[in-house]
Amino acid sequence: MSALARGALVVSALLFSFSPIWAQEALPAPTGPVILTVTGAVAVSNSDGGAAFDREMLEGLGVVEIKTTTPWTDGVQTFEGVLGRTVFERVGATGESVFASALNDYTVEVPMNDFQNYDVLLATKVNGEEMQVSDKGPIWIIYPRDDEPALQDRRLHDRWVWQLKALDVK
Amino acid sequence: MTARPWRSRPFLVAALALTMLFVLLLTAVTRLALNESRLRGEPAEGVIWFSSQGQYEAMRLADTALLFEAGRVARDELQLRFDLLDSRIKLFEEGQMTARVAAMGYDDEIANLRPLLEAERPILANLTPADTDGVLALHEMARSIAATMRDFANAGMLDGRDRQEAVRAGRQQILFEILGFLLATLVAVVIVAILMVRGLRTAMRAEAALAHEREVSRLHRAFTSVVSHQFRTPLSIIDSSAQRMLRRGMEMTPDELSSRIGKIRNACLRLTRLMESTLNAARLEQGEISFQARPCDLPALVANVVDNQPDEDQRRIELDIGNLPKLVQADTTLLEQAVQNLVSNALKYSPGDAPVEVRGERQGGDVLISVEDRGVGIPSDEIGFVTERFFRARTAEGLPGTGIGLNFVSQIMALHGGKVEVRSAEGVGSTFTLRFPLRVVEPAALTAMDSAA
Repeated sequence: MSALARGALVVSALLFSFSPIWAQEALPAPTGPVILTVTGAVAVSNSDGGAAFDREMLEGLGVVEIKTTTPWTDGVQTFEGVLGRTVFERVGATGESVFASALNDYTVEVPMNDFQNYDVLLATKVNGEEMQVSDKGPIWIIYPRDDEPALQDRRLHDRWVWQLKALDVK
Repeated sequence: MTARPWRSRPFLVAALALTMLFVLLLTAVTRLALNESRLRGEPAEGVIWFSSQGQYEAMRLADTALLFEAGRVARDELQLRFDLLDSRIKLFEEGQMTARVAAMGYDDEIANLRPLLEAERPILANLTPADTDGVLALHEMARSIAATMRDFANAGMLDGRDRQEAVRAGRQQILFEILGFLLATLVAVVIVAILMVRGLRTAMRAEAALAHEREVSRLHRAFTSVVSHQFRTPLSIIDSSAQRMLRRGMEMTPDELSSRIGKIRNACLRLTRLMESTLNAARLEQGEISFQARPCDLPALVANVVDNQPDEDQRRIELDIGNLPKLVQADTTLLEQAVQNLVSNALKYSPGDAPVEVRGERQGGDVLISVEDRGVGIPSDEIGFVTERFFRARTAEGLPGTGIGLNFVSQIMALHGGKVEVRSAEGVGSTFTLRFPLRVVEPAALTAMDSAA
């Protein structure tokens, strides 16, 4: 889908205050440990605290692979996970920015456009292995920086939230 | 200086210097860029941020261990804190941080953290709040990691400061060097420019000198042809008269004889004049004739020149020198030559019955002596050249002359601080005027002249 079409989609969602059809489906309750909670301006939720995902639910949205280097690791890494915009579409998120917070309560504001314009990944696996809390798991926000020169700006490094816990859409 | 300035040694040296300076400038700029890049090469967050993260998580773990012992938090929370600390220590073990750690000489301290942590991992799995020793051991381990992290943060701060200082000093030094190179480049450019200009000037001077030499040699050829032609005519007159006298011998009548001798004498006179004017011009040129101002009786001088003309020409001359200043400072000999030249020219270039007017007057601070004829005149396009040496107007062709006389006159006027003025119309006549500043005679000089007389 082109950026323009996506933009039109977001605009139409804002104008008519209804979410795309696939986002109207109710979200089942998580069965395993919750690893991600999406709160704020979302149309779909399954708990008091917003839309809670266990690992199975999250990966069920469709796993994508991205190969890239990062400023904190050696060499090219293969990340697997769900695209940020896939998650936002599933929960019918409408907002300008997303506040991403980590297990240690580190919180940073990420523009919603990052997720719409780039294949920003909510990675759960690196090089085929599930990421542990002891190594930036369970979820690490990964930007496809090797494919997009614009994303190699060090001022974007603070948006690569590791040990991601929650996304708050504003 | 050679004729080719770009081949001269100074120019080559300057060009070489410029090239070297350019290379030096280039290397200096490159060094400046490299110098600035010394500040990069560490993760954006920097050593201090990583260390503070580690220190924070270590303290949280120490804190949580005590809360666990008090039964306020579950094992999961303790495990989470342990994992978070683990992940912070991992940050030092991969990526660009390892290089920074090594550069700061902290590899050993950082390497010691992992065994401490790994020793606690199996104990943590079975730890209970009742196991006070175990909890305290975990607490102490976390505290010691926090201390190491704090030390590393301090070291990182100092290291960063030192590196920035080094970069700043390096930058300053390189900027000074660049400034120096730029100044030197400016000097070299100025030198090259000067050399170029000098070379050009030399070339232009050489061109001018060459043109002048060509002109001179052309004039000399012209002079040679003129002079040889002018000399041939009187010589052939003398020769033919002599031959005739030889053939006729004693049969010649006295009248015939005297006319022949008269012709010979006239030819001799012409030759003498020719010789004199030629020699005069050469002598003046070589500085052999010097200008000596003496009290000079102008009316007498002009009258004397008129008296020296041939008898048959004297009646053509009309004198009007009543307004001429009587006594002035001038070089009598030279001035007489100048007037003589103008008068004989006027007689020569006009018909045998046409009048020649000689006038003298004072005009402001100048003395004017003019000679007017009703002769052949000078073409308007050639008036400007008549005082050039060996130049003869088109209208003067067929009449004897060397083109030296008027040049000599103009040089005499230059010595007097004056000039020759020419007005002429072709076929109508010409007026030549000597104009020079009036210099009155001091009374002292007058008495000297009287006593000399």
